[in-house]
Amino acid sequence: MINNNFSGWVLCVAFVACFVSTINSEPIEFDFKDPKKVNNALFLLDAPLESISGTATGISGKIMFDPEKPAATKGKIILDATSLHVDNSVMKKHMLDKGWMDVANHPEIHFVAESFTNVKVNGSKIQAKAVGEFSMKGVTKKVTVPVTLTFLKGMLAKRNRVPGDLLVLRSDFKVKRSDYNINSGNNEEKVSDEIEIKLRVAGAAPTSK
Amino acid sequence: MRFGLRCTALVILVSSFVIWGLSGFHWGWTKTTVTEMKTDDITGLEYPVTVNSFVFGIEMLGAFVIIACIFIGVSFAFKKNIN
Repeated sequence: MINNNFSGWVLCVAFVACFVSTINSEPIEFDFKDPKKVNNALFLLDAPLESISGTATGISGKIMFDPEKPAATKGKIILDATSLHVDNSVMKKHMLDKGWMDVANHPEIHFVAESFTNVKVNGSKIQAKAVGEFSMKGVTKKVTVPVTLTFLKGMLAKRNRVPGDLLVLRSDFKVKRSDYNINSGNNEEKVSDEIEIKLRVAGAAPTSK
Repeated sequence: MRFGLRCTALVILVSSFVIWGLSGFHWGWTKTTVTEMKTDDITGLEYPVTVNSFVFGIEMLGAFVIIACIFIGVSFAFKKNIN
């Protein structure tokens, strides 16, 4: 009789604890600043002799992600424009100069995710369309980009030896340099108007916070 | 002088093709760094690793070929040494 009562109480407490933890689940803040420089953005532009491909590793920003409500994901990813790199030093100088990216006056490229639509959850992988504002060279435009989020629970310990979670974000999208006033209308026979961007970033959320 | 200019042109031409060959017959622009992609074990993300390395490009080869041609052209301005 006592045993039955006790097990009943344990079940009841466990149920209440589960319920409370569910209704109190709060979004986790993931920090995308990465001193290891794994976080990166690749950019690709078509050109007659060879396509121009470059990298950028100056990523930072924060994203609020709730594994229970992935559609409520919000945040901002910032790219330090001075970290843009191509393997040809002359081309790099031109790219960072006033005529093209003008990084001295516009040192930041960023994407602010306002809402997630078409959310499809497949285990730890979430595919969605991120609606937000993309800013480059002082021009801000509303864009919708496909994103894939992978929630790696408890994997921060393996990577940084700190307990916590990781959130991997991948996104491939295209923008037009003419839309962002990047030498628009000029040299289109040499460098395509369309810029293909591949964002590959991971954010960390230490649990000790 | 005529012979000297042509010899110089030949040296420039051969050495530029040798350097281009040693750079792997790179058909693109000259590179001062080389970017390789690696994969992060935990996240599976591909990330760039850039190392300083000089890759002789097609525009450099073209420039050296033009210089060699100029040397050959100038050599015609000098008369043949009959002796």
